[in-house]
Amino acid sequence: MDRIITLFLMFFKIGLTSFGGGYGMMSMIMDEGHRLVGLTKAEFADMTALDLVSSGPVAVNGATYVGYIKGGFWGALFATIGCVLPSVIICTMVIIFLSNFNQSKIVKGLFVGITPACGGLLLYTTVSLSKSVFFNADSLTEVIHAPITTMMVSMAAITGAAIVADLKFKINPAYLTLAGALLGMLFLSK
Amino acid sequence: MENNTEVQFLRSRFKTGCLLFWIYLKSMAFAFTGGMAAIPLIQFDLVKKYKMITEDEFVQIIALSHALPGIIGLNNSIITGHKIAGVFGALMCAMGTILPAFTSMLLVAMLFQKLPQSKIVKGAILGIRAISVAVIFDVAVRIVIRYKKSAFGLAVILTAFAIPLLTGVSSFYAILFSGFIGIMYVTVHKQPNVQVDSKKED
Repeated sequence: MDRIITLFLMFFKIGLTSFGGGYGMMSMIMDEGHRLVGLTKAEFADMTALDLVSSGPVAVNGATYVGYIKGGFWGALFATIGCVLPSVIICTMVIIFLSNFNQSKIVKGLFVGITPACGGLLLYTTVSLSKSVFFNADSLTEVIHAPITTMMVSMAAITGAAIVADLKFKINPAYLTLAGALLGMLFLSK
Repeated sequence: MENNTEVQFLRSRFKTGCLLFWIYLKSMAFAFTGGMAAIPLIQFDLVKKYKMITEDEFVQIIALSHALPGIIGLNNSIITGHKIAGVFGALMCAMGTILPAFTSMLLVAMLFQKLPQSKIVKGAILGIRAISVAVIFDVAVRIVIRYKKSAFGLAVILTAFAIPLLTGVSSFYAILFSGFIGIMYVTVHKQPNVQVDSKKED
């Protein structure tokens, strides 16, 4: 019960402070999820990739996934409601006071500040995730002392290929997840 | 007489609401990479096919929903639904947006946990994790590219990257801090020249 309330409040907070779409929430899901419900980096990585094979807004997917693995069906339901509620409340306010909400200095300022911040936070998330995905390590010293294995090199190669495929050739990211699973079966199952 | 028109009005609202639910449900069900992927499909149905809303109004709502906190795709659904069919419309659009995302992810999560712990499955999971690093990095790169000409934007990006990495505080505080910086910036500069190209990024 406590767990479900925690999930609800956590995703309410994340939903309320996110600007610029689902990916803006990612670093917060990683940090707050780890702090409040013990979400591991590996679980977070699974969530990110599985987001792409399930439909609809990424943020709702994320809340459902974390809610489910940390609190079963009810966890999933309340995490999703928590994540959705800020949008409902804010849109209701906008509909009622519509005329100049968009022009308000505070709203504009929040947008101007938080949108680029999401870029920086996602870079931080990339670094943090790489440490755990490639090196299975938590700190930088562990990364430095970790021996380089063929497994690491193969995984990094898959990541690199996916970056090029996405940025340069604009391949639908949903296919990337499927390709990753396939390549993993072929080269990483040792 | 008046009662009759009221009934007719409610009946048409109900019909429109159900149609909206169906349009959003089917469009969102095929939007695998986030809510904004459904926008072209929804736009076609609402603007061209059923002529419920003009193209200008639709585009305005997209811009507005980008500027609001919360889930962009959902903000967009709620405001569009309200514009077309009032509170009932907003409710139906919201449900049409959330339901496919919730049920599909629930199914994926259940299947994912039920997978046998074989070597092949473990390999597939490692492959998926490698992809997740690429996905997050690509979104970050796209945001950085959008701000490549804005010194303010780049400074915020660097700060938001450094704060949680070096100090270990939760990224939640980095978000609050950058929001505060943004408000200061807008207050000092009357015309902020931070060009945000709010087209299709999600």
